[in-house]
Amino acid sequence: MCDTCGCQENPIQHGENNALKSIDIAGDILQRNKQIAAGNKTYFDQSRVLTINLMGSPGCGKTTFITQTIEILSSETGIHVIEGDQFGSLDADRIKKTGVPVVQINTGNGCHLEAKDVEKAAKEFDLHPGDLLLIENVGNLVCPALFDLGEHLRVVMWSITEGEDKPLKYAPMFHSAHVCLINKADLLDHIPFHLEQALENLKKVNHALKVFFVSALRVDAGMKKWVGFLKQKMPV
Amino acid sequence: MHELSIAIRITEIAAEAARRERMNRIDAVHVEIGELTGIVPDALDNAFRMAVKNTSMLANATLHMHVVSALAECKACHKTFDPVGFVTVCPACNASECNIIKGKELHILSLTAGRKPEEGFIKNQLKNQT
Repeated sequence: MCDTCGCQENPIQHGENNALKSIDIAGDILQRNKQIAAGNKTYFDQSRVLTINLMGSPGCGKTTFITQTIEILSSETGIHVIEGDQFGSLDADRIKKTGVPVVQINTGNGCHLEAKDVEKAAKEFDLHPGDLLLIENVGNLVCPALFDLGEHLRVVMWSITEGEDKPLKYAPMFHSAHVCLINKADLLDHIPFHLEQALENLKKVNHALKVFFVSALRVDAGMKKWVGFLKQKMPV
Repeated sequence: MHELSIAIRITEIAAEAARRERMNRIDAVHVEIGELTGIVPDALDNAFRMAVKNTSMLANATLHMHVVSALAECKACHKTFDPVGFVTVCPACNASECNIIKGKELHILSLTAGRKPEEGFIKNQLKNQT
């Protein structure tokens, strides 16, 4: 008698392995995230809300940059912020002080935001046509590169204190971005950062990147250019 | 760390596909990983082992990874080349406008699945025979 299921077959002939079957799938592993991201994009398009996915290393200045953008733009545009961090609400607390609605997402052991996180968080905002949604991804130059959130623009921030080699070391991130913000530009006179080499490195991995030099601590010419660019991108 | 979310998604897709075929045990999963995806094969393998622990279908499943080499094509002179590290500068004409043809794949290809006896099945069979 078969030991596997108790039938009358010889167990050698009716081992579990005899029932093995090869199943073809040929599916995209990220398909579900892409579908949700496409749904998010449609929602943002229909709501006429410009959505930015801001990525970069921890400490490159993303939250300061967001608060400065709010400072410059909030008098004329409704702004909403999604903050992604592994733990805590320190960044959301900083945004709250500006008076702008913010949702904090804690990813726990996760190292990036996914489309489903943004889908859920976006429902908490009262969005109006012409508003701006800023998503601060988890501080990380690796993982967020792979996950579409449904944003209109993928923006990577890179501060000059990180060195000019970052685009070559974290190429998928810089390759996947539309805009690169080179932050802490006010430190250029104090830090050995080779600007020409940095731009050359960027061009090697993404020739089409739009680049802004900013000093997010102050309303400098770079921040004004960035805000001008955002206004151009706002849905009419 | 994003390898863990990829591994979990692989187990979910595999389990759905096996259920559709009325299978309840997965022995092997074959995936295709492009060189430019930023996925580290060893990290994905470790993450897969973590993801399948305590699952009823995939507890003994193995992950077979087929790495796809990167390939780019120059838009200007159409030469194809290996864009090592996403550097998409054409080695022939030095143009930087290139298309990535291969290397971004992240696909689940197939799985090997079977049926294991349901809990209590053998007891019932024996009872029916007596």
